[in-house]
Amino acid sequence: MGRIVIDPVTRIEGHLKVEAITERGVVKEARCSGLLFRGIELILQGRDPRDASRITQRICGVCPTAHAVASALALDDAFGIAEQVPPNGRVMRNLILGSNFVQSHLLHFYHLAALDYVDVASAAGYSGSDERLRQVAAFISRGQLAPFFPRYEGDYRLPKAANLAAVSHYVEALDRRREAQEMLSIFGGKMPHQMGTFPGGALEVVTVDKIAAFRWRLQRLREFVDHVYIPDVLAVAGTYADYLEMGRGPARYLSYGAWDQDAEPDPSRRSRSLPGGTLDGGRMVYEPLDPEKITEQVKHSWYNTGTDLPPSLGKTEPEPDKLGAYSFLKAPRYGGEVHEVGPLARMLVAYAQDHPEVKPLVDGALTELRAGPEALFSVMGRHAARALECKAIADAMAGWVLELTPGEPACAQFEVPETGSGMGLTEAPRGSLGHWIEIEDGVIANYQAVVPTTWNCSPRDDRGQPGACEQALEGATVRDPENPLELMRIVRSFDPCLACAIHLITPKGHEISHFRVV
Amino acid sequence: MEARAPKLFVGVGNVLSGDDGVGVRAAELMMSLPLTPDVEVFEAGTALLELAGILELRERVVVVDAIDAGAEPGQVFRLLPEQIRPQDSLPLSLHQLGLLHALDETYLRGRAPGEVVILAVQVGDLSGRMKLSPAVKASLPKLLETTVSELGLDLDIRDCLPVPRLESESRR
Repeated sequence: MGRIVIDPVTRIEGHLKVEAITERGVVKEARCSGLLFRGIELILQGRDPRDASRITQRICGVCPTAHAVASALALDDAFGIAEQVPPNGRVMRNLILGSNFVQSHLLHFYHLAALDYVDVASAAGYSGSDERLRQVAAFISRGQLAPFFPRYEGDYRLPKAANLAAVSHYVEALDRRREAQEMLSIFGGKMPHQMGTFPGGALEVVTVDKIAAFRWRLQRLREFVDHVYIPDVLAVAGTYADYLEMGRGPARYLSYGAWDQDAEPDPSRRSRSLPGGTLDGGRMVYEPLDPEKITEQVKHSWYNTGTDLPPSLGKTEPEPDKLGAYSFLKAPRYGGEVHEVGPLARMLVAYAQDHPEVKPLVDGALTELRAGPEALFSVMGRHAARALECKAIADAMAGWVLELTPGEPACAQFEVPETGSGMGLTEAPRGSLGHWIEIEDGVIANYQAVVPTTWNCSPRDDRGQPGACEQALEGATVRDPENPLELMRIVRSFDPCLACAIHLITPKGHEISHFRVV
Repeated sequence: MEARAPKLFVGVGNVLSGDDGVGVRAAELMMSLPLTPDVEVFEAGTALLELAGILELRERVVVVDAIDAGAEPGQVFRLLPEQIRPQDSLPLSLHQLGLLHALDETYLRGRAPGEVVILAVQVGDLSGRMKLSPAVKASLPKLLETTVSELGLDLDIRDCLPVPRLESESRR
């Protein structure tokens, strides 16, 4: 029996430790531990509720935008102004969040996941006519491989030409991703930590110039998604077809739904571009979303609070010495069951409802991969779903931006109430995101955020059921324990993102020149 | 392409994690100084990857970040990017990888900045709160003075920093 520890697993986003216990090369048991305690809920107590959508963005540098939107939705609800959000405000929120999704999905595939499948080093010595590949070759010749490493060696199977093309696209994606961030900043004011979303709507003034500036960037992005991103992902999925069978997970999927299409005050009745609900993948049964089924269990988490509570009643009191616990993540469950969240969950929930845009996209990809829907419950299914969703959102934004009306208001007037409670459910690039707020005496009395990676990388729950990622790892075959690339690929397919809570330079083993300032 | 200031100050860190936010606090202070148009101040927060476009084609960049080098809280280290490049397989600091990744991106696009200097402040308290520990807070004036000199600015910060508003703690 061997034990493989991968730590840290995300190249840039946060700190997650994965332990896998293997027997004759097969994972028998896996444990995902979030090693950072997030004190965000405690920080918010006693503050002005309007601060929440600013402060919660700081939870993470990779998907701050979704936190701002979830928070604004929770405050709309708590202030009783959800139905007063003007169309301009609703649409700008959608464009801000949509731009964030597009850039995040491009980032995840090209700059994190693809490096597991595309051999960037193959561009070394390139002297052909592709300017981008020449840049990569020059970069490698300087001895700087850092963005492409550390990686686990071996198993690069793409044909040479496809591999080189993907490396070139890696560089091109840098530009496209930047344009997506520029799109976000057009309506968000700035990036990172945009200022556009706010309770009651959005703060930017709609002008014809902003609409035009958004549209031309979006057009270029859509071309890239259609002609580069989706073909690259399907090429990787076809070449690594065994990963259409690996990393299945619980095969139960949850989406809160996102991109409001009206100002219905009851969030469960609000029309959304991507619908909320659950899909039991084993039986392909869809059910509409019931937020009351969301609870958080803490038997195996370093918290001393009551277990199986709805998030609105949740508390965040750490107990780092707790027996049997192994994570600072709680174990969120829906109806007591483990659910996977993220692009795959959103695409499957929409697919199960015959969503007019999503259904043909998914069917088209499955035809190309010569696979049935169950092949989506896999590592490659997650990557494919992410790319298809990127297209669905980019295409939808082209319509939304034309709904903006220059000169019309974008934000409702409101006053902060003395008491109130609110729930904001939306989707982040990595999955379902919920914020819950309680207001007393005009300040925040309690604030709880249940984030996507808490769903996907949760520890075991009260009944001992492993979390989604833990389940996806169990049964995986590891050919070389010194180089467990199969497990890396499974974990990365979830696009995990823990809070970027502690950031330090650790100059290990260096003689550093320094001078004392203090 | 808009004209950009040749000198850039970048503050990075997470204001929700105590002293890790020192770079952001430094950026706030920098923004309050009477700077000439050849200097730009950018508050990156935790979004290090977004830095690439900001770093491109600058002549001189000063980054303020947090560090845990086991020194006295508030001590400031002057580092060059190559000194923080991880030498062994997996770097411990993903945040730092973010900055280096952004720098690498500028090289990949052939638009790397000239000199990059990192002023790294030894942290004391990283617990979840939005304020700096006294030792790190006390290091700010000297840190700013160093920053101003690293950027080659003709500015006496003692004339411009009366009582800086360092925390946004409200209604506690």
